[in-house]
Amino acid sequence: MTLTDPIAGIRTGDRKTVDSIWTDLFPAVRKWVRDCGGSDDDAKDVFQDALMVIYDKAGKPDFQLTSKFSTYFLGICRNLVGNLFQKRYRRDVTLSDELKSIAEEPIDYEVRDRKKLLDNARKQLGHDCQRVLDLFFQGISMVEIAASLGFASEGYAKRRKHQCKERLVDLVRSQPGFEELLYN
Amino acid sequence: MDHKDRIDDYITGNLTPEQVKIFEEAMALDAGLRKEVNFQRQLHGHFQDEGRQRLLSVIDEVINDQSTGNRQLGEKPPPKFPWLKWTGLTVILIVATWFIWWQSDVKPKPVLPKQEVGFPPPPVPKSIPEEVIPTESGELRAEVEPELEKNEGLLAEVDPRDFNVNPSMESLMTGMRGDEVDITLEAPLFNAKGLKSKKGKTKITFKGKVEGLMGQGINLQVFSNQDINQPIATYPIEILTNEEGSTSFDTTFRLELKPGLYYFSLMTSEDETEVIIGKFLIDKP
Repeated sequence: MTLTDPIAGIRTGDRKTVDSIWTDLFPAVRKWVRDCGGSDDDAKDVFQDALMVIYDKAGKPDFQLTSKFSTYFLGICRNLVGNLFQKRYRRDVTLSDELKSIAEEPIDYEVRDRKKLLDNARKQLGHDCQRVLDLFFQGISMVEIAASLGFASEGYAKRRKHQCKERLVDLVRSQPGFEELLYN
Repeated sequence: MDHKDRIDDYITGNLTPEQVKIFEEAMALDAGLRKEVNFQRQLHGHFQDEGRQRLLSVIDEVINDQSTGNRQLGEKPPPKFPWLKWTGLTVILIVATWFIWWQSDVKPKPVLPKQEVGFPPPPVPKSIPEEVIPTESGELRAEVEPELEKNEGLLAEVDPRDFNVNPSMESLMTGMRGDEVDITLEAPLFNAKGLKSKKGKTKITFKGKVEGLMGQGINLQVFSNQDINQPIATYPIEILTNEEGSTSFDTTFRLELKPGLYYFSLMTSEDETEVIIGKFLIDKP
């Protein structure tokens, strides 16, 4: 399937875009990861990270896609695969000729790691807490949060938000690398 | 209030200019507070990006769906005992057939008219008809019988749906305590069961100690298990103050409720803050 504007699809969280990228490009990513001795879960992590890196890059005003999307996506993946196994094996990994033929796209790993840490913490929250905090961080008032989530009162929404935020902060602080990524 | 409690309000611009000034003066003197504000700003900045959260959940969905699909396309090794699958399916089919046959043999349940399923919300009584009766311990307590619309004809009807737990309300029951007001509930017991109705009315006592009310009262709200947004009844609870100034309540209601599971909330009367949420079950007759 050829997408007219995959970057816009990524920015808007379009399901068809993500489906299409998965169908067209994930098999290549999985093969590279397997060639390096990684698992299918590693490949899925790389796939997700690549999309999130593109989401962040594409949000910058000076972003311009200068190659085909597939080339750009695989260039990001090449960088991520190299980084993943370099960290895991603590040495440079030998990339296959196929992977070497892809031009690597640069990634700011400090930004990537910081955002990933926060996303991982959020994922560990219960569904209810995620919903409360999503609305809170979007600036929705407590009265509206209570109405939207079916809470009996604004007071309860406030307490729930407080509990959920405390939990989120605890989860963030329990992540490895928290101090250097977020507390400097 | 601790400055740390105000970080959210400071970041979201919900402090008055005077409060901002005080907060920023505190930050200038406290490196720990500055660090915490910086950290919390990063949290706000990251999580207020709605598109990012949406994309993450879409990726999760796609990975989960597609991974399942890939396995169906043959990535998973074939089962070692394919005959077991067919035997299992046959057994399930036989059991399902028997179950359908058994269900069809059961006398069909009478269909209630729509208005009989729900329970009309009674009004908050303006004045509580009260009868003070001595308890076993010799103390005095109020016995309240709210004036409700009569529905005695409905009370014999039992709908199994009225006994289902409500997951939303169950999740609210965890960790519910007021920040300022504290209630120690002695009755009804947490998750009270076995309440019996007599002539369509169920006697239920709300008893406990309460602190931090600051002159407010307490209201009892009762919710059906199927609609937690709109209470089916709201009643004021009388607060008793003893000679030492301790406050408590001990009120018995005779509620006209059909058998089923009910949730209740005790909330402060003025700022309507929920202090405690519980549930009780009225048995089938």
